Amino acid sequence: MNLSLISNRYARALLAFAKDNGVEQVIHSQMKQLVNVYNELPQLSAIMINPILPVSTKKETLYVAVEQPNDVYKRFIDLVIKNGRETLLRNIALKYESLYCTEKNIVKGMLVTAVEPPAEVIASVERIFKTVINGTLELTTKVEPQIEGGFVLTFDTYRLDSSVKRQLRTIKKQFEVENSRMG
Amino acid sequence: MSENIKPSEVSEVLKRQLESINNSVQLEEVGTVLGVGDGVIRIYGLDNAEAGELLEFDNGDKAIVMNLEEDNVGAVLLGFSEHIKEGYTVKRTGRIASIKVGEGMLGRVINPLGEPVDGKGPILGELIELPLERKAPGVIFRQPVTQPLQTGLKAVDAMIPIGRGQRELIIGDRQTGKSAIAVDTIINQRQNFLDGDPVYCIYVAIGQKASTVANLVELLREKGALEYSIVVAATAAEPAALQYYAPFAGASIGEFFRDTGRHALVVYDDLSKQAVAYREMSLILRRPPGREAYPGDIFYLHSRLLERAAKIIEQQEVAEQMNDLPESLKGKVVAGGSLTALPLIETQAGDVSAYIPTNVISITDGQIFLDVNLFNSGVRPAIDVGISVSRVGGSAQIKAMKKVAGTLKIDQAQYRELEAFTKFGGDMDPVTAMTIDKGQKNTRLLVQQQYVPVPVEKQIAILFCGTNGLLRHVPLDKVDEFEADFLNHLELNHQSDVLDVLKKGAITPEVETLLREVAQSVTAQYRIK
Repeated sequence: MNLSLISNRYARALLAFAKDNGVEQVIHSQMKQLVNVYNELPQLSAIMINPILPVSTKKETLYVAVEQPNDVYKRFIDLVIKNGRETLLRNIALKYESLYCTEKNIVKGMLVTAVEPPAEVIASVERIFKTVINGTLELTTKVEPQIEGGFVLTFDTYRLDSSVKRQLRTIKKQFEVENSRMG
Repeated sequence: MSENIKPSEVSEVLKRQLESINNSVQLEEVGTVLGVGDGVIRIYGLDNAEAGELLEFDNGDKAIVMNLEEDNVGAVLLGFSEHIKEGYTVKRTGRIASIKVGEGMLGRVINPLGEPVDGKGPILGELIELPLERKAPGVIFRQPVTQPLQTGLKAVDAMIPIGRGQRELIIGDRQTGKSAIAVDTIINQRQNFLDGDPVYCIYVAIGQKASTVANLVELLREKGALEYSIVVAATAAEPAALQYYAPFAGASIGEFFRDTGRHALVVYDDLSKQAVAYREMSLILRRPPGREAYPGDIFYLHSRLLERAAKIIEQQEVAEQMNDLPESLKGKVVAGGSLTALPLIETQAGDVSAYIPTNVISITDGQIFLDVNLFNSGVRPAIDVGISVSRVGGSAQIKAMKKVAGTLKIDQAQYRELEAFTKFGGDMDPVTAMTIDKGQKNTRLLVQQQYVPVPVEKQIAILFCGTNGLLRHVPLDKVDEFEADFLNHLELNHQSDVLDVLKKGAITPEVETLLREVAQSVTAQYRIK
């Protein structure tokens, strides 16, 4: 069974329907919220694959997963549940995001730093990006003290890891390899 | 902190290491784990990942890409699933799954990733990286099997001879002595090792108990066979992916020796368990199940593995052009090497017509079938001569053995048929009685103790007595005694004029006369009055 094909079809249909209704941006933000909920609460996947739970409960759960669910969103959830494809909802949401970004020429990025980055740093990252990519950069920031220092920049499916944590790990690994050779 | 200073901790060495550290930042392609379950992960992203590519998690764990789908990638974990959680980031390494191979591996026990698991520290010496999956050598880079690989087992070397570069299946029910044949073959290579013409042995243990592997390693050490052997262990507790990749690791190590002009023997113990591990992975990856729930490419799994066993052409300039030669082996290729494979398959209640046994039978160049009834009646190795064959080994048999044991297989098959009639009782004509007597004594001659391989010259000498009816005056229960006395006598009195000549593969009329004389003198003490 080609699950990717099914999720693709649903995502494409949702994008087309949302565009017809002029709410593709709203749906995009709601799909993003849904993906975040999936990431933060793995129990949501368990709920969706549970065959015992009534359909109404699953529907309610998905309605409350996003803030102020749009009518298009609700209708889409109804359709997915009616067709018994709720287990694929996460893939559909991810695919919608990807289709939307491709269409709108948006590149998503995330800047992770050990401390709150100054506004001028963010601005300069955005400026550098504009010179290399065509389109809009949707940059989010995140503070993770565990990276010790430096930064991790993720965009599209790429990552530029210049954190102190990564550098220390690389040094450790190279030392280990070198020492194991020498005995 | 340890007070012991390692040689690698000298300041100058440390400085050099620091200088050589590469700390440059590179753009990595990453994906996000969508779900983990039973050793299989689904990853979102990694749009450019390739099939068979090695992936790496931030915690150092590794996975291999198996399924490429429209919007996600299915990969198998090479570690335990508990270490990986949903949402983890995984990056491409740009390398396909590979293993580091070198001479330093000899005498060691490693896992399918090439990491030592015997607690003896890191593997030393030069190591070269070889891919786990590699195309087998093409037709023009091979040559027919012509050199024998002596197993030290009379029944095998006489009737089902194995040649270097051959793939001979050992098949039978559980507890019928499959592994024993393979282990005996490894032990028998000791003389080659001492003579400076080693056959390096790789024993791949798939899905076995760790204690069984430990016992095997100890046994090989005791018999002096560990020096030229490598044990690749993916025990029953390891993830299915490691059990699946273990034979490929064994094949890669064997190829290292094969392509550098040496001879190697690889034992896959056993491929039924590998097939089960692959079925597990495939079903979790949602690949369509076929017969017995195995995936459609289960035949290809075994055929591509066993095709890697080969005898490489003797012409150096041709061998150097070998197809799919890894970069690391270029410039190191030496012609004339060989890789012999002894795959093992476990049958259920002797059913050789099940899916996996029929597949592997059709791939290999012959099979040694072990029968549980023979085993229980004390015929060990319990080889069923009737359905055991070696399709290419005959041309690799040494001339003396071919001459002596040429008719042994047919004689034994005839004896088995006639034996059934004797069960009814009644009178027998003298010819039938003689065939049965000879058959019974030859069966006794072919019985051999475990882990006591017999050198080929002794095998020829004793089988000469059996096939020429020189045992007709020896009572059946004295055949073992006769064998021991006969061989002792030869060793003490005819080492140079008989045994050394036989070792070279020749059997002259003079040697035959001497063998008859010795047999006659030894028989005299057992002569039935």
